[in-house]
Amino acid sequence: MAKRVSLFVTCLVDQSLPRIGLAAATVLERIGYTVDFPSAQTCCGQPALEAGFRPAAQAAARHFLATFADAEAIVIPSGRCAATILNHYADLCRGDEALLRQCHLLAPRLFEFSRFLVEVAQITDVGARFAHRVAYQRSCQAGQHNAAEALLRNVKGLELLTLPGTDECCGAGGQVPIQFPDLARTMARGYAARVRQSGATHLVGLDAACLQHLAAGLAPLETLHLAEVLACR
Amino acid sequence: MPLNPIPAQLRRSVIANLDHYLVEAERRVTDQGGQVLYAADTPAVATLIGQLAQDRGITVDSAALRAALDAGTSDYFEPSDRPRQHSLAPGCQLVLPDFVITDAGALCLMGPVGPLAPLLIAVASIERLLPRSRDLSTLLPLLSSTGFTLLAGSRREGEFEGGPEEFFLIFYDAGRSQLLANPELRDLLLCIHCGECLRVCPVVARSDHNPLLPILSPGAVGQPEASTLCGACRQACPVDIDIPRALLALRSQSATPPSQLQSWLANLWSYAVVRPRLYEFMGVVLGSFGPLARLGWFPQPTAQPFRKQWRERKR
Repeated sequence: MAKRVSLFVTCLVDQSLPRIGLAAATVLERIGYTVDFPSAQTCCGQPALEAGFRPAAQAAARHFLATFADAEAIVIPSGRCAATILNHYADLCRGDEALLRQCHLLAPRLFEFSRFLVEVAQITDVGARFAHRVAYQRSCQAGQHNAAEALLRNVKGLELLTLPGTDECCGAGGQVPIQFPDLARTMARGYAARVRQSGATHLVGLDAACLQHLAAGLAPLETLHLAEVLACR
Repeated sequence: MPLNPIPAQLRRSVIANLDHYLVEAERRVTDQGGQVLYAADTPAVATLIGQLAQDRGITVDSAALRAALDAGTSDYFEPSDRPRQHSLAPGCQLVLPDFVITDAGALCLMGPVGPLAPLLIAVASIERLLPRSRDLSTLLPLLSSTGFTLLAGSRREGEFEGGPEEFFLIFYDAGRSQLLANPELRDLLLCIHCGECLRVCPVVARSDHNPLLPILSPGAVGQPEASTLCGACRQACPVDIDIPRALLALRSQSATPPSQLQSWLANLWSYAVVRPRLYEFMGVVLGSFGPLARLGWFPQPTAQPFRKQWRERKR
């Protein structure tokens, strides 16, 4: 029987950057998974949580936990949305024992895309080819691990550049782009300058929101999600 | 987790047993010839100090007293800049210790201290306790300072001149008990004010905003919403405070109510977020209203949504 994964593409990818979700599905299918897309999915609740609207974030958490209750494994092509669920759902569920139990049962089965490939599927070479000079954005909230670097190093033709300062936040996080747009722009400019100096032709990251935030300041350099690079052959 | 887990474990044990250490500290400070008093907040501290001085025929400039207390207790200063010794009137001094050492009944102040006045009043928030003198060897290396001073009690008969004639230690709460009762904010009491989070924060480095002020100084009005929640502070924190988690909790408890438009959008959003078709539709509707779209509640559709392409792909 084929192994199954449920894809939570995130609301941003669903509506604004569907190519990232399609690429993630393509890669997962290529390495032998049956990919399921629970169509009731919406948003993890991050905008409400970060804006301080707890009841709204709780509604989203409740909906997410119900939608994915039966999933064997949940894969999310976003460091931030995975972090919202893994780091903050327990706080949102506090006071509702049944919901909290659901949250604790779900958390060990939920993975950010690059972590799933390396730690669960135990694969670092997905047979991708992408002959470009690539700078990699770790994405602050994706956690301290090297899964994406391991995957990128095995992409044929890809030159992975290590550059200083790319572990730093690009300014897309929290509500900063909405409430402090000048600050978000300053941070994006600094980040983009470091990427441009490196001589990279592409910036590859783990989070659509960060990449979208950087895209305008990086043009003509392209921003791509890791899944899009791994889907190339 | 920080590489060295000991400072976090030490601070956690203090906060978990704060009631015990407060009682013990009072006993030891009294043994050293001091007297311990308690105050609910800094205005109550000011009243207590004014009374202590007045009883001894000393008139304290109340404006100077408030300024000294505000500088040391409300606002955050880099450890090396935080003023720790203030003259309130001839013969009366205020000191703001970094730690109160329980087993010695002593105060630890970073940096040097000048000659002490006959009436010495120390003011500390209740979480600044350390169980043992030897705990200083765990925490002092985390604080950037060229040295420290230990003060213990008042001068006793037969001792050399120099110490205070009378010594008072005032513990104040100012919202600490409320933090202790809040599981998402309790960890703020672990803070030793080392300033590591400020040194790594990309927002502090690039702007005048300081999202970390309410972390370093509980109760201070700061800008928790100016954080990108990148977590650099959490990585750097030597006592393992989950700062992004606390910042999110502070945002939900903000004293300033959200705008009507924001509340309306939040209600609309929580209605739509459990209804996938409506959620998608709201993105399309609000996406065409620039100012509303910029408030960031619904993603802006720019292509055929994933769910539609997925259905076609499956066919």
